[in-house]
Amino acid sequence: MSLLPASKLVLKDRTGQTLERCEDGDLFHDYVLGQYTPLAPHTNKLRSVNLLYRSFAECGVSSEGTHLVHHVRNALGPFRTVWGIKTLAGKITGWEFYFYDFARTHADLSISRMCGVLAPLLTVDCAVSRELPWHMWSVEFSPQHLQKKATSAVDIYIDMRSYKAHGSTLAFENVYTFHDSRKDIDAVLHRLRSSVHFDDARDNLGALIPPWLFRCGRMCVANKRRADGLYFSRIATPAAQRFVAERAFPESVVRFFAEHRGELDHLLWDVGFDFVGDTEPLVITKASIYGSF
Amino acid sequence: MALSSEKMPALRTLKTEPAPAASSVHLPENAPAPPERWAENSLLVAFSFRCNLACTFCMVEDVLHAFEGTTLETFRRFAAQPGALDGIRRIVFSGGEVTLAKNLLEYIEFARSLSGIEHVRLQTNAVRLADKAYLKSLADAGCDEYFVSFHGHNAQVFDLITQKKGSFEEVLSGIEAVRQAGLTLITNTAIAAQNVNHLAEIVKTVSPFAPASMEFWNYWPRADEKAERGHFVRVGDARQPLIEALLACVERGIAPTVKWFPKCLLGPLAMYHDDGQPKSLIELSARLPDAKKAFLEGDPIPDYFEREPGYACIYEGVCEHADNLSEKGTPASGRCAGLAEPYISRFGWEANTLQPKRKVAVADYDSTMSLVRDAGEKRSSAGKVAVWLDRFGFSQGARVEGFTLVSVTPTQDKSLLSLAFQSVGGNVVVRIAPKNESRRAPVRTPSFDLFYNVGDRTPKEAASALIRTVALAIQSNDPGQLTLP
Ligand code: SF4
Repeated sequence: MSLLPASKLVLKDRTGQTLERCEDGDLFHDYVLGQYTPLAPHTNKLRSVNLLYRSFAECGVSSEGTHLVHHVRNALGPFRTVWGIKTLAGKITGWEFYFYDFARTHADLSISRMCGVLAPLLTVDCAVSRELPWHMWSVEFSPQHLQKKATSAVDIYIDMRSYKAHGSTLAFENVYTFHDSRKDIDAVLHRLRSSVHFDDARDNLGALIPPWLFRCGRMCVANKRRADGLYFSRIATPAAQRFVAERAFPESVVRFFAEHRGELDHLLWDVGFDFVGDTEPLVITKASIYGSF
Repeated sequence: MALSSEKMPALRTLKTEPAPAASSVHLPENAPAPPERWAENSLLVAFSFRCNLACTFCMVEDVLHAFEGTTLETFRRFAAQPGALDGIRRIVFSGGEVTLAKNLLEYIEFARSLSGIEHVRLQTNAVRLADKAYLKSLADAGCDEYFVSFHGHNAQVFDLITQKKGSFEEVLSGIEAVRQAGLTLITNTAIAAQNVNHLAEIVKTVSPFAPASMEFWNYWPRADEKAERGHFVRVGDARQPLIEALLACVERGIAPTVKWFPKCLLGPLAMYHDDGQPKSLIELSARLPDAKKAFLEGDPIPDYFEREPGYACIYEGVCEHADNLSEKGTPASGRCAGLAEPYISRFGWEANTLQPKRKVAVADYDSTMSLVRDAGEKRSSAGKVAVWLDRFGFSQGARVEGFTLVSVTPTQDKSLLSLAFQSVGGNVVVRIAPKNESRRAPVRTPSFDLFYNVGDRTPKEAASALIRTVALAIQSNDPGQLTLP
């Protein structure tokens, strides 16, 4: 698999943003690195990573962020990394890269190797050396991390749980369950009705699972320390555009979809949000959108 | 982390009481059979969105002049396409108000002239049908079915909805003219907040005019995407008055039809449910490339047609009645589309009210919840090798002194690990075994003996550099007591 020729990376749109265009042999993945067939012919249309670049620009870390993407892609090869943009109250709080290894061979994706790879650009606090049957791990970073002013944490995902690594210790973090939203709806409802943050008699399930996200690829219900979460995989571009608008992503991110109308119709996206409702009616807090490079 | 104060839209208290059991509805023994599922074999031809009434919940009110209608020429060109009318036995003319079209008779005559067409239907408010000469001209041209909107049981409610004083009397005169002419009358009543409590009274008002069928369509929120206009009635609240109206129909021998209302809430009256919609000429045009071209050359298809409300049901994956809705807005006949998306966004999925007819057993939680189904299994052999290599700074595919580590092969009994390196010029295999002082080994570390094999054409200096680097890496990270993976 060849790396993207450098010449392809310097194309810019009218905002001056770096634009990457799809090549014939591109692969497309959802946020659990499941491969999908693009919805429309893709050659020369935009890769999803361009939205990530737009979010870096929004936070004033265009060159640091883009450099990190290229660096990771050089180390792992293309189409192996999932990215996420995180927002809270309409502001980007940071990003996350996810590294999947369902075969759990942990060869070139071993956490220690990748921490070494990331080291010149991100300081990562993880010294877990035990053999663990993880299928995924992720590293979170913010503009401060990209400027090496802070240390990034690592989350390790084993079966349905995640643990946060602090040095060599691991603290339990979240529980995730994945569902076919249509066939497995009873399990989804059970998971939501047993959440301390959702009250069936109080909260509007239609706002939590909007009909335009319901027919997604797979739904994920998460229980977290201070919130619960819902994720919707493989949604088409119009739904992704609606999601970033309704969840009040920064204007420049929302605008990205309108600016590149017709160049994104081949893509599927993944989105998610946290919700809190333990003390008062449910509110949606963090929201995120995912793609891959 | 601080939590946003952002509120979810339109939070409303949900009803948690389940709807009355379906078994509490009793169907009279002589209940009529369900009417023909006319949508299956009908083609809808849309006229201009103009009307002489202004029903409060009608989508046309939002899009007056958005669509100039299908020209007769376009209709002709469409009908001339091979296969365009396959399976079609009825042409339905709809608007706006079709009787406002000056050349309606020409459309009817042309429709009647098409082979296979047995019925021509007008969807109309019937205001103009009171003009008996006009009605006769329609009938003479070949229109035999009159599908009349009828939304109120008395002048007060009716005129409030149509926003035209006197319209109740006008429409009654129209349907009386249809009855007297011996033509087929079908009425259509929207289920909306303004009339929901009078549905059975509407049946009583209409039944003397001998309708062949009465249809009840739940409010269809085209152009009311946020369900803000107050026309929707919660399905749990509409259920009882609707059931009373349906029973009033069947008791009078009138076969009713219900659309866009959850089939599961109708009990035995579910046999009268049909969410099927006729194919529209515009919709079919989009699927027949040649016909589409012909249509586009004649008349632009307005964006408005893209704004059809979607339908969905939270139980559509498990309910036997559910439609798969592969084509937006056109559920298969006999299938249930669920609820309108604007309704769901505003009032929720009604998950506690709906009563899905389950076609599959409740999912086994273990079947799909985990991405990794063998969570109990520990690391694979390759994983263990990778961790072992990592201790010494190596990984599969790593570059070392101009060579690439192309394969790492352990034995099952942990007695040997072979590291195969390749470069453009040659290859080297380093074999690592547990330390055994009873034999000679070229390199020995606290835990291991290292052997190597250099390919014939491999430059000696390059091979030596590689072996030295590998040996040093292992030596310096081997505290003793290590085992092979
Ligand atoms: S699809 Fe939904 S609304 Fe329709 S019958 Fe089934 S559960 Fe009821």
